[in-house]
Amino acid sequence: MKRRDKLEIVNDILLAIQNKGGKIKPTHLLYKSNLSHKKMMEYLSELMEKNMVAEENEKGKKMFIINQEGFNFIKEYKKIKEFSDSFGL
Amino acid sequence: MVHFVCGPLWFLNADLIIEFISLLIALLIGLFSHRASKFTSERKYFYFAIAFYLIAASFGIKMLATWLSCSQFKQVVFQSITIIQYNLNSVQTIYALGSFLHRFFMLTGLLILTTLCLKIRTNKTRLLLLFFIFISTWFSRETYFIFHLIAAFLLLYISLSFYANHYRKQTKNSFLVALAFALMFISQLIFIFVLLDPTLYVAGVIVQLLGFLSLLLTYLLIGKK
Repeated sequence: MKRRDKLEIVNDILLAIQNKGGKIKPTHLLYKSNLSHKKMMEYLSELMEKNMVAEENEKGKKMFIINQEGFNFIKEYKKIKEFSDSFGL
Repeated sequence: MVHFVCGPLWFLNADLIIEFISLLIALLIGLFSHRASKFTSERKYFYFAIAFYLIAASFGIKMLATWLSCSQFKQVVFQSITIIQYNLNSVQTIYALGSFLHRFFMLTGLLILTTLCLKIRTNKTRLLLLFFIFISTWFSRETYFIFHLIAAFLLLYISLSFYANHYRKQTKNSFLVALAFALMFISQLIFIFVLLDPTLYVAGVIVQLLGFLSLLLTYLLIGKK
């Protein structure tokens, strides 16, 4: 199986949040992103720094939500992936 | 030796418009790839962008050289004999320089695409190939013929690589890309025989345009996603 690069992992994390209606529990995200807890938190803190993802409390439970920047990333990544596949880059 | 290969005179304006369209399409692909290189920080997209920028520049230079040469040519028809001699010299200089830059930029662009397709990653090999391109475009006596022969050869490699990519991916876009470069390869083959029949130039330009339009369609389909 091909190793995922950084952008692919970021895209997978953001897609997992998007597919759950824009809001996800950390345990679900851990399962969906297929990463270790430590790695996932590293990625999430970077995504929060870049304002793609935000953390919020819902009835005392921690949730991660996707921001507009995150949606923009998914859109752009999809186009570039399509471009790359079309030209075999 | 400078060859004036513009095809039939009635086609001159249409030729300039078609080249401008090709220039815009090459520029669009280059800009998109540049954006991808900034987004991903991957060098392959940067080189891909450079290749298409060079192809766009090549069309721009050819258009400019043709337009300047032809505007001088009009003066030759109407002015006195002394000016005719002067203009002919300037026409030759403009066309020779423009023609060299057009050939060099186009072949360098195609060479970069070939190195990306063949996964040539060493700069030594790239420089060696670039050196041969320079030698063949600058020192060759049959520059027109050699240019189209090398372009056809490079486009054959690129087309085969994109066809192999389409075979793996089986998508509409990968097909359009393979088709685009196959058409460009055919257009270069047609250009080789222009010296036998100038009307073939029109066919070559139209086939080349179809290739670029196929690239434009790919670009639009990617943008729609």
